[in-house]
Amino acid sequence: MRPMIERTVREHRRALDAGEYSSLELTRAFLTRIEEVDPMVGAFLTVDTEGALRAARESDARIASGASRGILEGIPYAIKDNFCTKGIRTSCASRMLENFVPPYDATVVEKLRDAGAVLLGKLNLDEFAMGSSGEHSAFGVTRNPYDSRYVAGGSSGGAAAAVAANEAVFAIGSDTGGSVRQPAAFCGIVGLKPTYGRISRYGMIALASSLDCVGLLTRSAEDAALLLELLEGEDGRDATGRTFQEMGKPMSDSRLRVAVIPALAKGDAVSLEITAAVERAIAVLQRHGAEIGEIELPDPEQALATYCVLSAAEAASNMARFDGVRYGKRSEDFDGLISVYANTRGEFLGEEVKRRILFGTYMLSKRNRARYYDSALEMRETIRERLKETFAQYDMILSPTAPTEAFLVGAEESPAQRRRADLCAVYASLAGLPAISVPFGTSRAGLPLAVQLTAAPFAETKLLRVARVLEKDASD
Amino acid sequence: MISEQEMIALAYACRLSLTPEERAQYARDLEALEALAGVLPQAEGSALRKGRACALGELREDAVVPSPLREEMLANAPMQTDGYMVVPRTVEEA
Repeated sequence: MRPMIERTVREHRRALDAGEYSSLELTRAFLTRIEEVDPMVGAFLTVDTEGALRAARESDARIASGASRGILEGIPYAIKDNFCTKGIRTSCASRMLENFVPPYDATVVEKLRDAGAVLLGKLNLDEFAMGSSGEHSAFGVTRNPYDSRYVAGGSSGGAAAAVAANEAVFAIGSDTGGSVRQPAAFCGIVGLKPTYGRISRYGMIALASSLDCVGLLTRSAEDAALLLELLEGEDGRDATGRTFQEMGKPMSDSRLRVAVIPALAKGDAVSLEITAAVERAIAVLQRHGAEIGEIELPDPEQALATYCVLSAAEAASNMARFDGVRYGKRSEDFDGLISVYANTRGEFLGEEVKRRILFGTYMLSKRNRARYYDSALEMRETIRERLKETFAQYDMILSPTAPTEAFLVGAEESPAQRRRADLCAVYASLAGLPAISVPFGTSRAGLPLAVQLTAAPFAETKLLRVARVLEKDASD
Repeated sequence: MISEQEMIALAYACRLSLTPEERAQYARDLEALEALAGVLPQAEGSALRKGRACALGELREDAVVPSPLREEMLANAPMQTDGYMVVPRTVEEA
């Protein structure tokens, strides 16, 4: 059996129910681990030691009295710091919200508490979830637990690194254009972005509302399945919440049909080691009887451009609420209302956030709206239609999660080059589809490699089943 | 090429105070990002299907409900007094 802090949800459940250790002992083990390794990793922004120990004691009491709340009772987890937690600072890794203490819990936080899970603390991210490296936090870089010279990915870099560094059993993140899947790939864990609307986003601070999803970062596909079952469902407080409805090819078909996108499986856009990982995954699925075919989608560069334009336009709009009036900080240097807004935002928002606000607003300007924004909306529809046709014939798409393995902290790249980290993730985001990143070997440099599976809306069960096949092969 | 005047107008629209150096740097960044967006094929205006962009699910009806969180929300305001957020004077006295 693996050491205690390396175990999955299922393994902890068995041990806690058998009395092998208590939730309090488990929680203390994680708090000690955080103290030991987090100064190097930089995954946590806030550790709620007192709250975690109290929750663990309450959990132990329920287990002892036979009133356990289920699979997650007594299991410690952590959550990205863009989810509201009542009474615990929620900063979005921004100086703007450095002192913001929400008066309510996000739906996922509420559901996890009601299920008996123990919240350890809040996790680092690229400021307001804008970034793909974990370097754009106002409170420090998150480093890759496999090799601290490399990034953890982003924007849920803290969430991925915390699970990979055994600082939590699982973590909750947010995925707008790959922000759960890409850091999961970089850190060698499972990252699931469910169907758009399947998990309520109430209390998750918005980045791009037509794309934002709650995402799950776990040690195994089985853990992701357990969490999804618990967290899914409409709650009436997220207007985009959707009821389960399986779409695409029926589950009863016996032979799995898997599509690959040639431009991402063989192209120059993807590193050689990632390409080889995808080829190995194809071979594994073929050994299990899968039929592999190729599909044509709009060019990945066009999908990336679509994502960049739409996400920036929506982010620019969502970020308007941070104006120094209702919450967050206010600049002391102003001489009227406009300068309160402008100086506050100029002073307390980071470089990448400002860049995206500027780019989004620029794309929506009179000069550019028809040329770029309308074109992006049109392209999004084309992508959705092509993917709908794909899932009438295929069960899922196999692709890289990201075009490269983790890159070096501080690597010199332009903002436009950096956006390429989202290249493989954005099809699923634009079409609101479920997608999962599965660890699949390591590179020659010792960094994790991963592949991504994407399926029709609400076909997570199918996705997780195939993810387990790949996961098993990778660990054998 | 994005001019200095355009950057000043853009920063104003964004409610962002930027130094001249920042404006120059962001102008270069925006040009590079615009080039990235340049691969998008031109949409044909009348045939736009953008209305369907939000058609992923039916939206619920809007409903006005009382907020039980007034005092707690105010606690996060940068400045407040007597149960109200305080903003700078916007209309000058004659």
